[in-house]
Amino acid sequence: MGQTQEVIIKDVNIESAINEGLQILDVNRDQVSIEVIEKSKKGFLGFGKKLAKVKLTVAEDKDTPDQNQTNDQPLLNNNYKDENLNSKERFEELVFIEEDKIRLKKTNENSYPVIQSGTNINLYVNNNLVKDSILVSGNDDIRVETEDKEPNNEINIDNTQDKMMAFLKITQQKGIKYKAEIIQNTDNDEILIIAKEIREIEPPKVDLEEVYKKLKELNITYGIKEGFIKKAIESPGEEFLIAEGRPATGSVDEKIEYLFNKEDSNKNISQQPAQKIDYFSINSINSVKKGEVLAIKYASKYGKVGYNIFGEKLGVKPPQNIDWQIGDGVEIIGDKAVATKDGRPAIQNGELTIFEIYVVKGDVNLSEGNIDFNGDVIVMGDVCENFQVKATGMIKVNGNVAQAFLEAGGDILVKNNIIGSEVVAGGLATYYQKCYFYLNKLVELFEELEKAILQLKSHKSFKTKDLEKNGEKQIIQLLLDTKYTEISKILKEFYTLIDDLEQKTIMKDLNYVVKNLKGKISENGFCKIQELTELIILRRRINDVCQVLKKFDFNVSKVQAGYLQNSYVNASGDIIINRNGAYNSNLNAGGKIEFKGIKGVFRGGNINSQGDIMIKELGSPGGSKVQVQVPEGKKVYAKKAYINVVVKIGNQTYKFDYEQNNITVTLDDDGYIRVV
Amino acid sequence: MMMVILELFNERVITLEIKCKYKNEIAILRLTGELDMATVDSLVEKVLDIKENYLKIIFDFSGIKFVDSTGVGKMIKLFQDHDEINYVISNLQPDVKDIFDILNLKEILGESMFKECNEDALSYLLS
Repeated sequence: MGQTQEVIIKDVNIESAINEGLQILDVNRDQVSIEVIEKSKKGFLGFGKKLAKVKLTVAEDKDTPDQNQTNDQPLLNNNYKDENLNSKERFEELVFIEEDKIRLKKTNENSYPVIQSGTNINLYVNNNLVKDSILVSGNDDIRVETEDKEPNNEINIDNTQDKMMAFLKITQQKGIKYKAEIIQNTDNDEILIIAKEIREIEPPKVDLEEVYKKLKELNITYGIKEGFIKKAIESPGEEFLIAEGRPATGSVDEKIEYLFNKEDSNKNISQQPAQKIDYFSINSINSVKKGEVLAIKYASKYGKVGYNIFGEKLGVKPPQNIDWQIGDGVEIIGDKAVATKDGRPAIQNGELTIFEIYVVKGDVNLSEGNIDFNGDVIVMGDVCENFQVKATGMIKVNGNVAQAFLEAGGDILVKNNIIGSEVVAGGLATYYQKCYFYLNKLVELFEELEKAILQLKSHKSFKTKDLEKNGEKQIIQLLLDTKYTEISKILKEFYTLIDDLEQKTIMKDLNYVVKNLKGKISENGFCKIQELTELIILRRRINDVCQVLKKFDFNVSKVQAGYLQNSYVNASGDIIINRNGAYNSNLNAGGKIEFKGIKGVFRGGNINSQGDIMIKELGSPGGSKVQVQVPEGKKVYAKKAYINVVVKIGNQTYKFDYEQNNITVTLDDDGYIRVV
Repeated sequence: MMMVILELFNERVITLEIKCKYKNEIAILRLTGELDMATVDSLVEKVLDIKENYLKIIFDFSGIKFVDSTGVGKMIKLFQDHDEINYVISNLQPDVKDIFDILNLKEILGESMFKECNEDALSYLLS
């Protein structure tokens, strides 16, 4: 076996290096394999110039070259001899492109091309992808491939978070078609195959089916607008709303319309001068005749179910129904409430009632005696010393009330003065307000309790075997004893309130829920509920009653008087003083308190109001003791406040140390009292 | 040492292991296992037993991984019925602490009743 012989030659270009090597080895070109190690570089003004470097390896037996082996080698069967040939001419003579093949011209026998691919061109020599430059011979199969850019359509569908809308945008990208071309690399005389852009390819129009396919993938099925999909296809780059859900339409609750207007009729009465009032005319404003329709109930309407774009059903809250709540003198015929006797219609304590009207033509005195009437009482004169008037409806006095007692289920209107008397309006409504407060709080707490139960039951360290065995009572009791001790506290207060009430007539819905509640949780907080579902049902029932009680707001009873002195006034609604004001009196209002008279003074006493207080003068220049209390969120307004006036808002107190004008007392955001 | 083993539904053995240690006038009950319907009575019994001699008790909860409403309920009842005893719960594991937080026990029983470790519990009961 012969030895392997190799030389590495450096020269100005590859061909001269090869020739030199062949001379050194004293062999023919077909007896060596040639490897280009480095290509030559011209450099600039002598800088960066690099010589070509080739390695020539002599085959094992140079004297008897194997024919097959020779063929495998990237050699041409001719010699390099002409170095003077201009390189430009050379490459044109050497290679040409025929379809995807690069051919070497056989006629040229004195030049070996080195070729390299440019960007977007793949060069294959004998089916191997070549990245660097390569020396090729006529035996090589040289193929080029252009990396054409395909046109592209992007279909983009976005939906809104509420799942009610989907938008389509089509983005189109043009493709590019290349063609391989041969150029000479002027740097080193090599042959470069480059991609030449010959044309752009317009992307095809997006097929409607493609969009539908995409919609299907995204599960968008409802409210698809094909017209807009087509528009989006026509106008790439623009966004179109292509699917839209249908929102559910709300249900219409049952509604009762009352055909009499309490507010207006009251106004009319008080505006008329006392002397000229004819009580029959008062009655005609306020009253109805037997058989008259008092109210109409309008049917509920079920809303329409909606769908989002994913075809998911959007539920509709069922409409709420209202039950008639009727008291004396009213009968329901079909969808109408009809008066069964003459009298004044009113909604008192949630019930539509006809109040018969009792008119005292003169004073309430010895000849008349005390009055206790189931209905309204109108006194044309005064209520005299030591007499009392009780009415389940309203009481109206056109004269004065002195050293007397008035109690009404409805409003109390006193045209002139109330002196040394006690006046109570709206009895039950005050209770109901409190009931509402407690029950509403219970609903909130029960909801929290239910959540806490679910939270515990799903906790990995909380075992529920005892609940499965003995029911959920145990866990409810546990929470009542721990986190929700407030529930038994509220129940205790609520039960006490109800026990007070039970002597009087109590609304039957409320009564029912109280019985229910007492059966489930005792006033000591002892739970008799076995299952969570019982708790949920109980909570819903309480909530229903709350909704009924809530509506009582509009018929709380008010007290109106001209002037007050040494008296006690309690109203479930507003207290309104029309003339001079009040001296040394205690006022207690479930609503607001307003002193409407020009003087409108409050000189001495206590005011407790659940609403705002508007007064001209609070206190007196002499510093009489005045205390005013409103809950958080309400305000006290006075044109003038004197020394010694104390204003309490929530649990904050402010005392006036000097006279101030035009003050508004409120609580600021931080819970501190502010006087401006 | 006392061991409660109950075979329930022939499926699982439910246990609560109570190890007692006494230091000065304090009893430390190291609890391991589950505080539940099946085991809480044994704990209550144990407390009533040692209450004759010890009125300061530490419940070391480091080995309690599970509780149920009966277990926690009866334990709270024990605290309330026998408030002559000074109780401290120590080494609550995170999951059980979670449950105690949901029940608001810190507020109901008092924050001072919960200590991170037995050392804190001891120094609290000794002070």
